[in-house]
Amino acid sequence: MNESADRHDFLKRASPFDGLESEQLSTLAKRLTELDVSSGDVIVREGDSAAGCFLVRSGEVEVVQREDGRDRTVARLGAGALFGEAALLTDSPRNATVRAVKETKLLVVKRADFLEVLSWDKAVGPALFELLSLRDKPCRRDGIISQGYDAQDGEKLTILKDPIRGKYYRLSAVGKFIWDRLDGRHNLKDLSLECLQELGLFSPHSVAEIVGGLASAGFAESRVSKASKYLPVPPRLKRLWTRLEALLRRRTVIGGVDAACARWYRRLGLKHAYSRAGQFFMALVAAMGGLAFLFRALELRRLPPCFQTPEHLLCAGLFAVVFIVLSHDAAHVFTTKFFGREVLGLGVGWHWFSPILYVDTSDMWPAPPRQRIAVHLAGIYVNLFFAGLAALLSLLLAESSVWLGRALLFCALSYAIALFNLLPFLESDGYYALQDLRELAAAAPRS
Amino acid sequence: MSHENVGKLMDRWMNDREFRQHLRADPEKAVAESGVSLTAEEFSALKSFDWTKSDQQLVSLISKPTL
Repeated sequence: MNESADRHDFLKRASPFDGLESEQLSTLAKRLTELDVSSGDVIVREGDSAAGCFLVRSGEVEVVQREDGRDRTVARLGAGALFGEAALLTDSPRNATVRAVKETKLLVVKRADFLEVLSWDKAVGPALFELLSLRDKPCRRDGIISQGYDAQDGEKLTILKDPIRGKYYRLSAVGKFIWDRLDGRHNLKDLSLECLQELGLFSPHSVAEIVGGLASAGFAESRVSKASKYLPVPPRLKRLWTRLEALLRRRTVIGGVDAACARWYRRLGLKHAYSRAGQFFMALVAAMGGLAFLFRALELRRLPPCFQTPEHLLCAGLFAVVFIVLSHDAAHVFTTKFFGREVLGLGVGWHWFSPILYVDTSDMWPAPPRQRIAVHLAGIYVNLFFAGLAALLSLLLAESSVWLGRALLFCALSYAIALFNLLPFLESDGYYALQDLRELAAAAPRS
Repeated sequence: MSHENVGKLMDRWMNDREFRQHLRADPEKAVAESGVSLTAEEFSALKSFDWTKSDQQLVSLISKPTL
């Protein structure tokens, strides 16, 4: 077998180029140069600029990093392993020194060839990025607030909060252990070994998933983000869909509203609405009002006056919808304040095909599921309360009254909107409440 | 305890995609075939991990009345 065919077979077996077509492997094989090194020879030096990367064909090398004035061996690599690729992908100097620990044969991939290979095959790029992330030493982002709580099933969980982006991340006890060690000095190997040492758990996949999840959610910084310009571009249709989705789900958030929400909560004396008596009164009005609405609607012999011209109907309907939406959102706000959590923002936007007002109650994440459910359903509950109140008042109105039609229209719209928001497949209140109910249900048999 | 052999296993795991898949699918067989010998304690730590899936980014709780 000639040298080129030999290299071709080696590349076919060597990760991460094993995904290339045979013809591409042959092209790459011809462009490689060989380098033989002896034990102790330095192949790349930390801090140097990078002109290429290396594949270990036979022998063994050690990867050494300088920490606190001392050399630390972070890995030993044998046949088939690639090294030196990180500096090429991140356009950075070498981040480690690599030296041979025995007679070693290397194949050198020049920078230009390496970057060209990334465009040859869709599988090679992700494989190289996977390698980069596995060898990375991620670091926690500054300003993240961590808050621990006991889940329903007794598990110790931690919620990470990024106050600037308004993002949250939930960590298990193992996840928290790893989070505490994301200091830019631990790679996956270190983290896995510490998990084994301290927790008696050895699961590099899980450690990689936790670290990868934190990095992709923006809670940890990784070198992969520096290499993003070399990531394969998604297909045109996917890019188009992403842009369209962003356009149809636009939101403008007004932050810094929590203090005002708290002030209004106190000023309106709303804590009484959350007392036992207040809740009993609201539930009674909602229930009795529902019956009154049915009774009043069924006994109508003709359309009330406000239904008889489209202008009246539109005008009354518009006012009703504005009140329903505002009271719905206010209920989310004030219930969040009742539980002592922060309202992160109020906003307006466009959600697929309709304008929206919205409240960001993400700060409820560290709260128990029952409280989260209460916040999710508060808007619907208040809609039912006001609809019930309107229905009970309608009992006092004569059939000829213009207010009767308005009251019944308000009730009908309130019930329709409440029902719509309860649907679990709309990513609205019912959807969130169902998610939390599932958490409660999952915990029930174990508690 | 130095866990030197686990370190060797980790080096292989980080640099060999096939080995990663193999270790995930069948840890016992993957370790046996790697030629690295683990202590009983290390092996038990490899097999007993209960992956709870608690670790995840949380969606923003956006309450928006849907019309």
